[in-house]
Amino acid sequence: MLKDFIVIKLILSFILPYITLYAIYIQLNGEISPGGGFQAGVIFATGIIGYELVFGKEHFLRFISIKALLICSVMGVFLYAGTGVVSLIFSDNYLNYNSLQSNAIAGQHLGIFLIEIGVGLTVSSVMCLIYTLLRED
Amino acid sequence: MEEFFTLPFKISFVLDEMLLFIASLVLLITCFWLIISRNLIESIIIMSVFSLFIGICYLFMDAPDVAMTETALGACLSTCVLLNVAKIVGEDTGKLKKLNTLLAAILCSFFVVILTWISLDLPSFGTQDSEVQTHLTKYYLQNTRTDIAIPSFVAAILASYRGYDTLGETTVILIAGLAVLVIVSRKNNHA
Repeated sequence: MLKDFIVIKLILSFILPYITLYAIYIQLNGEISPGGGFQAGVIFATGIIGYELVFGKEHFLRFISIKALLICSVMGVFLYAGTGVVSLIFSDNYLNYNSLQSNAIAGQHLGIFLIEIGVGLTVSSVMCLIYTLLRED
Repeated sequence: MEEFFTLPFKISFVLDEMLLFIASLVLLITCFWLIISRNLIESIIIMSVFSLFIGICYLFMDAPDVAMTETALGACLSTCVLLNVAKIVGEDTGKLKKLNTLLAAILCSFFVVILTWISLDLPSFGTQDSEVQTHLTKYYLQNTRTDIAIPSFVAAILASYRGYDTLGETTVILIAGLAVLVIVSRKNNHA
């Protein structure tokens, strides 16, 4: 078990908050800087997998189960598709965010923010799901 | 004097090209190393190095989004998954059934020839008046500021103009996760 190597454990504990913070930064600043939901999700999953690598599968599954990962990944796609359906209700085209708010540009901003969160949620949970499933017990 | 002040920009431009050249060279060496490597673990690590250097190449070619994705996905995530798979399969690949190397070599050479032939038709890097740049890209560049008003054109195209494509991609990722879940749970039930 990698947990017994004190250097690896300490360095991972040190670097993990920064990886997570970087993922959240990319997620929230997708509109003004490089990166977006996909990149943020992958980096977030990288942090979680680093944790899983050091502390083991049992310790990891105590916090989040495979069922919860599955629900998160479906929720991401649901959030994305649901954002499109909202504009259908206001008699606009599917996935046209102009009608999400009274101002068209503010509606675009809100729509892009929501779908980026959906993409990030799906990507991070699917990456964790694949890694956890292929992990040797 | 003016020459002196523009010098850093010129040097940085040359430096970019030189670093890109060095990274491409390392990439080529990594490919040959990957071909001659016999150990499974070694091959996986070389693939990780390859992803890292191609990420650096993307960065020098002004594509930070792709560089970020390649480094996080190729160099870190897929390496972790593949190392786990290698742990299950076992380091000793001698027991595995050997593929027909001659057939594989002929197929690979065929692919190399075809891809090189196709790449002759591609526009050179950074051409402004190529087919790709003149049609839709022009529209996006002109209208993003008024339609969406966000600084990142990539995010505007990805999320708003091409929302359908991104929805499809997200669904594909979800389906990939579900497929892995189905395959692995079936194997566990039989055992």
